[in-house]
Amino acid sequence: MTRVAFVIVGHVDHGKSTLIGRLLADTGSLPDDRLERVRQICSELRKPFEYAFLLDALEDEQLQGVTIDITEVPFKWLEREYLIIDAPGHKEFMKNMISGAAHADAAFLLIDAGHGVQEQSRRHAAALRFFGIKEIAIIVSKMDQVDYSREVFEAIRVEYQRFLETIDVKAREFIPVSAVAGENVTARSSRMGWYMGPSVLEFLENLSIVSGATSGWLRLPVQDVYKFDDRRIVVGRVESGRLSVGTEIQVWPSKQRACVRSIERWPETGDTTTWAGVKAAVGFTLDQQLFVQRGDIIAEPAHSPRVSNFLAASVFWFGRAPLEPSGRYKLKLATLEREVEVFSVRRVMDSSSMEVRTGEVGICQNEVGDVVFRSSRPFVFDVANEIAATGRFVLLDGFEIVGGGIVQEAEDLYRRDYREGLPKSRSISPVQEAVTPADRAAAYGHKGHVIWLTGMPGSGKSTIARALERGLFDRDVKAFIVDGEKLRFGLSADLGFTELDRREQGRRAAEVALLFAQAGLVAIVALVSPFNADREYARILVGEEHFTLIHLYAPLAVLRERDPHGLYARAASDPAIRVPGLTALYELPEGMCLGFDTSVESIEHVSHAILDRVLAIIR
Amino acid sequence: MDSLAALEQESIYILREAFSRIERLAMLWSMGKDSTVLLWLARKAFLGHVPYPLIHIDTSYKIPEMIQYRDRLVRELGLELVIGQNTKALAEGMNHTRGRLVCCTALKTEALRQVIDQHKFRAIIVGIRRDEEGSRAKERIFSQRSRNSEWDVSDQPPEFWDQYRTDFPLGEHVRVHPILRWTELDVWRYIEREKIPVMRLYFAENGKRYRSLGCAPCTSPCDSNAESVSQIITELSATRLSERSGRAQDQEHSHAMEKLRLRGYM
Repeated sequence: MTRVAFVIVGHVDHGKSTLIGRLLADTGSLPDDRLERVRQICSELRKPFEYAFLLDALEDEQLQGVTIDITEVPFKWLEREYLIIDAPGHKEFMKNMISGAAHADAAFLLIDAGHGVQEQSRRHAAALRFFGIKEIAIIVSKMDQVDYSREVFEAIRVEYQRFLETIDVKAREFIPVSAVAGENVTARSSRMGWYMGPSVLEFLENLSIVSGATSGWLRLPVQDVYKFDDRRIVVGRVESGRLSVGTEIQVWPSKQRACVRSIERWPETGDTTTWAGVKAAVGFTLDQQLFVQRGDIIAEPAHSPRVSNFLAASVFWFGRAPLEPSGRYKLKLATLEREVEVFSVRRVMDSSSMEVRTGEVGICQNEVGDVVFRSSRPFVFDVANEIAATGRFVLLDGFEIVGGGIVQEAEDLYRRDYREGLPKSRSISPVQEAVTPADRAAAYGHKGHVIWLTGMPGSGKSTIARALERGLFDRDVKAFIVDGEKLRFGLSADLGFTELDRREQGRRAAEVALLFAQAGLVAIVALVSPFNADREYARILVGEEHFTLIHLYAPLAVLRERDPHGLYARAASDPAIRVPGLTALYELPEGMCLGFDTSVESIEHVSHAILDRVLAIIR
Repeated sequence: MDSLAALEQESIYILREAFSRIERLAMLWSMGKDSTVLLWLARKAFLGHVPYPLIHIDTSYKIPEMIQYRDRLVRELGLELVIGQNTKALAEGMNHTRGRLVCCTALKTEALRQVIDQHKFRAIIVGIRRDEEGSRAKERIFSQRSRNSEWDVSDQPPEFWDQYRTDFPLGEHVRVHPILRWTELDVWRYIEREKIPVMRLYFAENGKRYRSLGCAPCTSPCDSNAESVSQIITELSATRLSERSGRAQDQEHSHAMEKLRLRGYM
């Protein structure tokens, strides 16, 4: 049987620790000497007996009468084991509150009957929602201080329920309680005969626990590879699905496949089960010598995780310094660590006032924002609502954890991201198309597609593009070239050659190519496009199945000799001229890509190879 | 998976995280039930191996059977053992009559600090549990210590979604607490389930047994007739006394353990 963990949250001084102390005392969960210790401390401080001190054990907490950090206390009630997590209510201790709340199965949110809904009452509910706690009960506490008034309780219930609706949280119950007098804690209160719902303990007894989102597909983030003896053992924890001996797995991002040969355990004479399920920390061997390393994700071949240099997410920020719109952070997702750059911040919301800001803004402490991150090497991940454990991450600034993130559907977010500023786009998109992509494909004899040629200047992009356009046209395929120069004389006349402008140039080329592809044509993009992230952006925008990436290259000496635009010659005499691959960054393509050395292979051979591939997809 | 198996798997995951992320790692070993379970978990995590040294802080006042047990296990399992001892303080005659907190600080906290400095350890795995006492209840699983081994309890880093703080400035170290979420009862249930051998001192003899082991002058046995692991489990399920009630340093004053631990005590 598993232990049910529940967290107690709410505004400071609304009586969280007192309620827990009372629960522990009334269920007989406290050793006598610990009760005696608290009695002694209270008499030293000349205070009446303080239940809160059972948890607020730190001297500062007792002297100041506040909870600073979380405490976890186990207790047993009617054959079920529970873990109470006491979380601080002060705004400054939000990071501690989250440390406790994030692994709770359920939550009680306290609202003081005398003081009503306060700033942290709202913020904590927003945080619970963010961290995925679905079972929430609201406790209206200190009812003794309002003479157990039904009117007071109802007023708070109505006000707070209205707020919860705005953040899409559904409370299971509203329970009026007096922890000091013990009303509605264990048994139902006789003083509040008007209340028909459960007491706190009755609520717990009836609580059924649902685990976080998991699609049931295998996900095992690799923690380490051990070579203590002649075995090469991969270790990691099954976060979703199951790992079984004899079945085929696939390692991401390398995409290598192998079968699980054995599950290794110590002592060897013990457990001989041939599979491992969710939450199992497992060690296993494969039937092939693959290069596997920490940060890789092992999945079942039929259901792959996502791979991208971009990660779109909702971020809860508790750093003292705000998240900067172009800041660099370290991101940890399962066992993967990546240096990331903030690519864009779409929308920021204060977690208490729910006030929203948009535009290029930062995210301040205790705010939630939609952010796109990018990294020079790809992430392997899932969307959080499909698989929770591989769809969330933490952000670090230096040594400090400064935020948590939930992965959102990337494609949607990109499109929203760029179209947010155009209010009309939303009303345009749902309109039924009179001619569907299938109609076009039937009429033209092929589907739309984007061929993206990347490579350093002089690598042969324009030449190959022309050969492809001719070749497609001769085979009755409607094709058109979108090249860098064409764009720069028109649509991109406002852009220069800085990194930012090159990125924007890439985005525009992708959008234009998408339009052609949607019109049913094959768009051939010939663009240096030096950044992996921008090429991946195009792939996501257009859609994997309609996108073919080609990398053209040749030795530098050959490129210098070809020098179609005199760029290399100018760069030799003018250091201000930035040539990707020579004096500026050119990132080699990663992931799905065909590559050709144009100094060795002929134009005919290269264009035929590409044609064969593309024709097989579009026909 | 039941709650005991879930705790075990989590602890193994934590041990592997520490081993993967932190270069110079060692495990504190007091030979007590908690360290014994921790050692067992390490062998599970590393498939029979213990890929880092164990540290025993020897105050010279330990119950003699504990030392015999230690040396036997080191031999049998081929463990790498580092013994830490504040010889200077002992030469000057340090003992509990000078004040229990003074003695604990000199012979345990300071001895541990010396070992960490000398071996440049960056992480120490410690078998503390939240249910032992109040200040331990406030701990993180990966808990940073300053250059002087101090614990800043008022400003601990966030820890959630099993993402632990494994990066920290040079000169500081981290205490790793793999069994933080276990209770005393969990430890005994696990010893029973896995049939892990533990020291005789835990079992009743003439109506007394040790519930928690420490230095001889400051540890007293409790009344008990529990002669087997299952009898201990039955006894603990009904007890009204806390585990460390036989540990004198805890009773010294109201926040004794907190004060010790802020300065680097385990």
